[in-house]
Amino acid sequence: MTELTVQDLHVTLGKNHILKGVSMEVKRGEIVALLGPSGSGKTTLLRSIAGLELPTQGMIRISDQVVYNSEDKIEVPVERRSLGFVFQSYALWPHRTVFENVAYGLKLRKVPEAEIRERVQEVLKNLGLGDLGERHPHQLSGGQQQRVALARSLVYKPQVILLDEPLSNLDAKLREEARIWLRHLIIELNLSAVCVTHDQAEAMAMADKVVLLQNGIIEQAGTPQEMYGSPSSLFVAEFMGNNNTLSGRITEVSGQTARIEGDGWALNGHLKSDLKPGNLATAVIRLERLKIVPGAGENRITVPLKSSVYLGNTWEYIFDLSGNTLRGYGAEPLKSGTQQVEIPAEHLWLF
Amino acid sequence: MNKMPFSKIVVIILTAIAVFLPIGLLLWQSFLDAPFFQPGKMYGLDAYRFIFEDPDFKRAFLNSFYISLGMAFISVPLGGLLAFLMVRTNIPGRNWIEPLLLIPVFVSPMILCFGYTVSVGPVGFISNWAQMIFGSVPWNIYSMTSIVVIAGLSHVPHVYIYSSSALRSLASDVEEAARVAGAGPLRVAATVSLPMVMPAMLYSGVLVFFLGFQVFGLALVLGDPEGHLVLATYLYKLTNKLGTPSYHLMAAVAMCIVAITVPMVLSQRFLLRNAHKYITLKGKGSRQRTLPLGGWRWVAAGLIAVWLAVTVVIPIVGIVFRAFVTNWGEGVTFIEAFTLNNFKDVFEQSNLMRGVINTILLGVIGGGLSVICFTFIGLASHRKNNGWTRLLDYTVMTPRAVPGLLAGLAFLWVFLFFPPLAPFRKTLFSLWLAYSVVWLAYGMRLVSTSLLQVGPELEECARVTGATPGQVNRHVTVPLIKYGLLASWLMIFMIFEREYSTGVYLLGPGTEVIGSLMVSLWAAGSIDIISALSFINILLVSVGMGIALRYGVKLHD
Repeated sequence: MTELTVQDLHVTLGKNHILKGVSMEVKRGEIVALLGPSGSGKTTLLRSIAGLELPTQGMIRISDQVVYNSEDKIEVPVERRSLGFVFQSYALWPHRTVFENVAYGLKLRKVPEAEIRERVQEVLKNLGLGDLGERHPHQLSGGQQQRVALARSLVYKPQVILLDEPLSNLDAKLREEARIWLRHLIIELNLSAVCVTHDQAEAMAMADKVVLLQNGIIEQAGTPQEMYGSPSSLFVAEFMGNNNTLSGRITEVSGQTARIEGDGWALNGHLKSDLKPGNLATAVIRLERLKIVPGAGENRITVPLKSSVYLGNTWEYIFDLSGNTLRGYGAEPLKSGTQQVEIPAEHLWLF
Repeated sequence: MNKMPFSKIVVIILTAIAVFLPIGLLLWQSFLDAPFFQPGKMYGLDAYRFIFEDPDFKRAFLNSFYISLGMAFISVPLGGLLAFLMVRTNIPGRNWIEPLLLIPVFVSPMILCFGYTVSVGPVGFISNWAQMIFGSVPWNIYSMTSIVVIAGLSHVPHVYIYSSSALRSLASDVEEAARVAGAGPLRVAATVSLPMVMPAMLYSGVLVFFLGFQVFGLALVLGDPEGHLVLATYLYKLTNKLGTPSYHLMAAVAMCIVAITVPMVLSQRFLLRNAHKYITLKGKGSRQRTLPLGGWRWVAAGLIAVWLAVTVVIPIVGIVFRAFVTNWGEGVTFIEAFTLNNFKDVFEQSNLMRGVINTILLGVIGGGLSVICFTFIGLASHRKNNGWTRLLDYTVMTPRAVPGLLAGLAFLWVFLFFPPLAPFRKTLFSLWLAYSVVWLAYGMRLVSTSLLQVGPELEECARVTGATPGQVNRHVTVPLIKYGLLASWLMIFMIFEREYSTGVYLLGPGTEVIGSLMVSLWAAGSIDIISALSFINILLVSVGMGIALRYGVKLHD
């Protein structure tokens, strides 16, 4: 069942056309990550769903209620969309205690006093904040504040929860734990969630579906595996992972494979866009797909090693390919000199 | 998100009426040849023709111009220097000098000028000493030069306020970067620091210049004895001169003053945009380093002490002293002359006593009500940007161009001849409304400074949680700015205690306040009672300042 539908949404802020026709769907129990560089419109999309920005065109539906439709001039005010929203800064009200912060949504919904106490206590307990109810926000750590913000948006049981970079104010270690915890929590409560992030690893770890935005349009949407494993454009390939990129000219095309030649190298790769022999193209391969091999062979090149860098969990090798840098990973430090490197054709994407 | 609810539109329209109706009345009246309520009045430029042909008007205009120019030339360099010394150097006693510097902003110029007459006037305390030492008094407090110098010195704090806040927001790192790049300290000052605070200095220069055209109390007290008129005193004395209240002439003079100040207020708006051009938000880490002055710090401190002595100590000590003596002259000792009769007189005369009580009521209760109104106005345009808020912007700015004396006159007319308001004319409501409009820009700045400190996401979050815009204001925004509003109340209290010119035309039984009583008593020359009233007024302002200092309320931004 679809909980949230966005159709052909356009948003203009001042003179800037921020969203230029975005459509997406979120199903019940699904977590969708909105990913993109800064200025891509991901936060604007989230705020438009909440009703904090007014779109110029399009349609937004939450559950079975149309909350915005430019054609029928429907615009449901923010407070009647009944959404959960977690702000990047958490936006905890500093003049209220944790309990009062969380209870506010229930008070506005005229829930009886006794039930408010019960429900707030329950959600605080579930989020591990059981005995912090009387504290003020400034007396909490960053992680606790984040959970209070979450408790506040969950307590009135919204169907859809929107999260604006919810983890960006936590330090690196805590962030990795929090994204797994957050994912479990949302699944457990069978909520639909839309989460804005600019960190592709976070998006893949948390979400069932990733929507990558660029300049106000959706570049690609799909599961994390699709996004990482078969990007549809060079931008997506670059954004989702760490790559080696080489520029060259297509010399041969047969079906989905083609041969690309550059300065002192020639490789077979997988065609990702409509290229003809003679076209200039970019060849992309993820760093972890590069293999160090003992001898020459198919799709292998001989390159001098520039340096080996120790990263703790792995070694990173840096090779020189006629002026371009080629990088790869391995478990052992390499001796200086030339090495044989295999670039598997099925992992070399040609754009 | 940008739709204007009806209630906000009502607030904005009411504000616009409160500001533009009285000014509109002045404008309309200035083009009539008789009072606007008289039948048979005719449109025409007679009023303007009359005042432009009057040599007194010409003299008054030129005097006002000289005062403005002199004020700008005296107060801008001194205020800038003072700000630099206070903010960027290790001058001794910075913490306790700061509130003293601001005294001329919070004590009425009338009182300061009374102080000058009693201490350095022809038979003043200090003049008597000078007489004994030199055989004659080497200065004349009533000359045009003295008036210009005193006006200039007493407006130094206005420049100081703007320059010091600009200097504070100038992080040391830009100066340090220049030092590292190879510039010496003087070169840094000339090529980095000074150009960066220039817009703020220019802004305060324009401010002082148009305040010069609004000077009233100072010229009334010091200009009277030798007949030096300025525009505001010319207006005030028009009735005496012609024997009858000539509404159209007064309105025409008022319009001439407004015609000079409005363009300057507008240009300030433009300058303000530039004033913030260079201001960089300071990060947590960037602390300001102070410049060690070495032995010069004592010279600098001495300079400030001299300025304080001339601008604050001499007049205030003089008037306070005068409040406790019967008379003063050669050979009189303090013990002989000491008396509390001046205060007894104040407490025994019912109109004076009412004036004291009204002043307190107007400051405490009226000030509180004004802050509540300013809050409503502030909330009406909070986080909105459309035609309505632009209208409000101009509405709020306009009263700055209208001196209190003129605003009081305009409100008198509104209350006299606008039937629904007529019953309120003899109540404090008329004064309160006039005061609130005159200080609208100041009060709105206080309130909106607090409002801007509320993070937008705190309000948005309440909306998403299910609160209507009204509930957001009541549950989140207003509780968050509570302390800012209390501080605004205190500031408005002090400003209302100080105000004297707005009440001049509204003065009547029931609407006496200390400020306007002093203006009318001055005409009668009763310096004993004026001194006692001044002392009470200074006391009231001191209570405000004491509370501000005790609770760490910032006296300026």
